[in-house]
Amino acid sequence: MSSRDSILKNIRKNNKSETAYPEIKIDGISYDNIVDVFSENLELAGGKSIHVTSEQNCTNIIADLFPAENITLLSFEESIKSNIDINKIQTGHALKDLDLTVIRAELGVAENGAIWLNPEQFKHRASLFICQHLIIILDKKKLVNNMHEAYEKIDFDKVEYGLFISGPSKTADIEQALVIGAHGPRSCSVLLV
Amino acid sequence: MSHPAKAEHFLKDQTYAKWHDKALWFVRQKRDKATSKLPEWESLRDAAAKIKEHTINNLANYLEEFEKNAHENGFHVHWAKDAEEHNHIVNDLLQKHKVKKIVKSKSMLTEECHLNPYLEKNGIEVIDTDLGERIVQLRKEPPSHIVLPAIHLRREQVSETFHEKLGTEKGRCEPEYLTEAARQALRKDFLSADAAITGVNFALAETGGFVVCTNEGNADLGASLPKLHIACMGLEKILPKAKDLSVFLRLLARSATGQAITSYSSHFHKAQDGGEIHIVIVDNGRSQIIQQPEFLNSLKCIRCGACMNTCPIYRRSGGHSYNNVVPGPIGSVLAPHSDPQKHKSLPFASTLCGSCTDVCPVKIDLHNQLLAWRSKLTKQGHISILKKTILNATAWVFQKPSLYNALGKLARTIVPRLPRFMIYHSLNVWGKQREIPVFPKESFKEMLKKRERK
Repeated sequence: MSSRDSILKNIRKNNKSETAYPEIKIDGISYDNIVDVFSENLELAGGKSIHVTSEQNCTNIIADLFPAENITLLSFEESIKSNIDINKIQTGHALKDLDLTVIRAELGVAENGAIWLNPEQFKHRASLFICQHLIIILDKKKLVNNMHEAYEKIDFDKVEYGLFISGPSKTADIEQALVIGAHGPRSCSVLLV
Repeated sequence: MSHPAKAEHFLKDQTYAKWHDKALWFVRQKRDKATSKLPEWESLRDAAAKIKEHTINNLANYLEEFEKNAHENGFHVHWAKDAEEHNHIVNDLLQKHKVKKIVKSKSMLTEECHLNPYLEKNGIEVIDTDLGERIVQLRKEPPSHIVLPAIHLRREQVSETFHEKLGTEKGRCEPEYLTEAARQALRKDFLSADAAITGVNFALAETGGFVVCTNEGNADLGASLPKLHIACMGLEKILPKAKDLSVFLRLLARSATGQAITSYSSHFHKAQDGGEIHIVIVDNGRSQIIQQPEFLNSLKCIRCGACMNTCPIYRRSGGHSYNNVVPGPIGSVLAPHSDPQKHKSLPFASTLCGSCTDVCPVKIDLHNQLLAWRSKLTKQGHISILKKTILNATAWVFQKPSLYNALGKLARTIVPRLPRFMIYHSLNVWGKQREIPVFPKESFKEMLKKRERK
């Protein structure tokens, strides 16, 4: 018998009677000032929230945040110009000197400052982690109160690789001291449009 | 070595022991602060416990559903009945892909299976990428905590290790400096690895996908560069539906570190272009736990570490004293299944105060299970003759109220008059580091009687 079959057989032999999926009813927390709570929790997670009056302003704000001339920028957002051609990149390794990645989020969660990213036809997942800094554009209307509301909105038929990001890469593995910038981005700014 | 022997060694340096205790309590306090922000916290714990219980009761069905959907996602699914088979599967995959170097993110399962030494023996370089795990790997130590692998180390010790292994400046101890040094060194490893191994926090039967949570982003950076990604999971990691994640992701990080969520919670449902994802589902004794109703609850564990942070014994004896990959209350419940003789002291490494049970996000009745193990180990003959004799004698006296009263009276009269050497000796193991409390003149019963007469 294969290991698979013997494991399953063993479980079936030992299992108590099968039960129906339990009824779960949770009143998830909700907020009157959802934008403020989101920003607050994002900052607690080490991120930065920036209010933007219109989509057109995003380019200027990014330029203000990263004024250096020679930064390499990869954008998955049409209105923001990349200065590297993702189609010419063979593997994520070639992005090792990438300074900045810009991407649009599907939704944001107020209770924990997390942002759901599920980019379609997304090339090189490494671009989200290998960059020195990450900028996420999020429509304020796409904020939800809590994780229950968030998962209601996610259609897993359309998820190949989706993730919640809450702030920059961080660690507290040395004496519980929080350090921002472990392996991934050293900063995570969310432009709230 | 037994837990008491190792704990005694740990406690020799009192300043260090107090520092360790405080460091863990700090994490517990952060947990409390995070959970108090959610009025629905207790209903989340209830829901999680119910979902897990249901999943265990239907585990074979959900594993099959997961396998089927994982195949549809293009994943390769492997099954391992024990640690040895798990290591074989992983090594075969790596050899087939001519892998010389792997980056690994935190996986307690691969620690449990002792994968690193096995792969190294087969000529593969293994780089642990979680900062805490990298630190202990460089020091050739096991992790001392499942979420905070290097919580037992002071910054000076990390500084010395990094000076020796990574060439950092001698004496530089700032966490920022040391983390940056590790970042620079590990970037090279990420870029030169031929494969990535990650653990699995949750596997979804409904979608065939799996979720990995990290703060550092090391699992994602590791898995997104090479073509081959192997995800290793214990078979209890299954959740029935994707929306169950809303409950578990709300509980996990808050319980673990007091964060509302980890920095990265990645949902893998397809390999990236040209890549391959393999999932290894491991039993290694888990299916045997299902047939023991008193221990079944331990399979609910989501490895958050909250029971360790709160445990007065863990905090005052350190993770290494447990001599098991998973230490603390949950480790003490899991370890004796694999080797009762080796781990017989662990269920006794508890005050049975129940604090672990109170903080457990999936409501495992840890203190009950520790007690159940004590009785089981005693019946199996694993406890010392001295302890057994004392327990038997006590049980005998407790069954005879008049003898109990008489002995109590005798003890209250004699013990306070005895010289020290007659009380504190090798047979009194309890009094090794403790003072016997001052004996009252009267027993509670006597006091009550007097009061009633008045």
